[in-house]
Amino acid sequence: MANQTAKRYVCASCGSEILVTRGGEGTLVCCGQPMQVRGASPGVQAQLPRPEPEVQRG
Amino acid sequence: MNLAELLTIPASMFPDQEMLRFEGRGTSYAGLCERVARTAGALRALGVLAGDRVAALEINTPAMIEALYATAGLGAAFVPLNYRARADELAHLLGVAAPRVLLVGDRYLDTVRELGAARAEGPQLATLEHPAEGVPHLPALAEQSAPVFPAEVADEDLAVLMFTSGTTAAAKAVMLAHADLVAFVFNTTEPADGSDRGAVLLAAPLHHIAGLTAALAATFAGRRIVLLRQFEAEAWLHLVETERVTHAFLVPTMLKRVLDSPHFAAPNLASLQVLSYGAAPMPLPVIRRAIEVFPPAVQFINAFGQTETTSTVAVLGPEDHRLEGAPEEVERKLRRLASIGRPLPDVELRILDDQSRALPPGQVGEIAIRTERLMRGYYGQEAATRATVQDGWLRTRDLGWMDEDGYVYLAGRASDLIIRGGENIAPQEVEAVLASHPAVEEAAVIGLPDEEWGEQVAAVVVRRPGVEVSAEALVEHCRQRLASFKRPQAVVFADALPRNALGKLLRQELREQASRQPPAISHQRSGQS
Repeated sequence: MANQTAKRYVCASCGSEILVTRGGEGTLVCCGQPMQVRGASPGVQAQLPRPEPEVQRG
Repeated sequence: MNLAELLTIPASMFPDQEMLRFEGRGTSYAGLCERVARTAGALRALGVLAGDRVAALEINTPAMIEALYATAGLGAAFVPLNYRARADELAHLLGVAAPRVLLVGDRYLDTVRELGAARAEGPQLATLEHPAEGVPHLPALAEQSAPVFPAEVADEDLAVLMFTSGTTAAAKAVMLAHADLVAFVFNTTEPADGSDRGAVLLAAPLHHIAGLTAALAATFAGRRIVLLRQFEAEAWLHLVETERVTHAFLVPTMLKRVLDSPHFAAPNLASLQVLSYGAAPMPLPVIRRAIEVFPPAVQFINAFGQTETTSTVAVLGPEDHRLEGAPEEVERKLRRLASIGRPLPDVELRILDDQSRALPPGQVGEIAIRTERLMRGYYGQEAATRATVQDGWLRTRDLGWMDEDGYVYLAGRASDLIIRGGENIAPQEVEAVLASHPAVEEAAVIGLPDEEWGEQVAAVVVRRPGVEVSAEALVEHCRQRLASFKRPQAVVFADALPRNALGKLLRQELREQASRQPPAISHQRSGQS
């Protein structure tokens, strides 16, 4: 299972997390088992109701 | 991954390492992180949320770098504006970007106020340097704000909105996502490891893709950023010497000024290891001279790229700049110096014919590029995006050809865009201004080769019958209506413009005519930036 650039991988056993700066074909292993890619974030840009700004317009 | 983590990750490992150097003052990774987090808090207090845009109009200062990372950290998009744009041009850029907040340096506050950006429906203004009456002061606000740390973002979330051609009315805003910029950094840079990675002198403006990506890459690499407000040859030379600069990037115009400076002294540049150049075609005499006079240990790199490709896509490396070996080897290298090198590993580059078929080596066609860090499109311009990105390939409208060894050579631009000192100039915009002069029947604007600027703006003007006007008067007319770098430096008068049977202007013929005929005016070449 390949690993991907700029993705985080988590060890389900010990909780270690690594960030891949250069992807490759190999499988990342920790505590004797393959690490899991952390779920894709929905991101913050499509959410959040807009509160009033704390600083009033100048 | 959030772009802002290019800062927070190395900062968590090497908090005490000096990261930024500005006018004699140093800032550590931890210090910068603290300021960025509080600036993010200040921006949030101004109403900025994920998905908003934060524009900034300022020369290269630490506040700009803080604003970049703070904005990205909030999941908003940073929009660095060309600080040389005129007020009406700025109004257009702001109209396209529609930022929630506009951050302004001292020298631009009056301009921004004049154009009415402070009115109720415009962006919220905030000053970056000193307090001003009636305008929030971002640094003061940051001091009072609780820190905000980088938000989770999706790969495709917008991180930067960057205008392709500084100021032209036809400027398009390129959408670059967090993943695009992170991919550029990861694919071209080794992560910080606590060792001494030297110092990079950042003289290219942060509103240019070369300046912005240089700042990001240096942050992640643990390479100290020595920030220069605005390029000036003497200051550049002084900083290389005193700050022991190891890496630098210059556009060809800057390099020529460095070479021409009376303060140039190779022994003072002994710390320099890598000198990259790009953003405009490099005149062969300039790079040959640089290779001769810079210290022999300096490695030259020609980095060719576009905003749409998140910076560099092809590189002519140091080996190709060493003019050594047998005569035929030297001759081959001299030929290659006219190339933009070969594509980077994460880039596919093809030369296409007018049927979009790949051409073999030696044949001229349109350069098309595919890479994982291609822009997400032009903001608010879907038709322009569809015309530019086809089947995942960026149609650059640059003409070029590839040799048998994979080196790529530029052969003019299909779009006729003029690139002067790294700034894109659309001829049509200058032509429209010239045509607005009552004495002008018609005008055409072309780029002519120029050793200092790469290209200079030349105008061919047909006067109305019986009406006299001087070249100087026309240049003054342009000066009042255009950003300074767009005004013609040469004016040639003609009886008619060459056109084909369909009335289409023959720009190539114009270029040949203009280069044969001495201009009626050839303007000063310095101090016009």
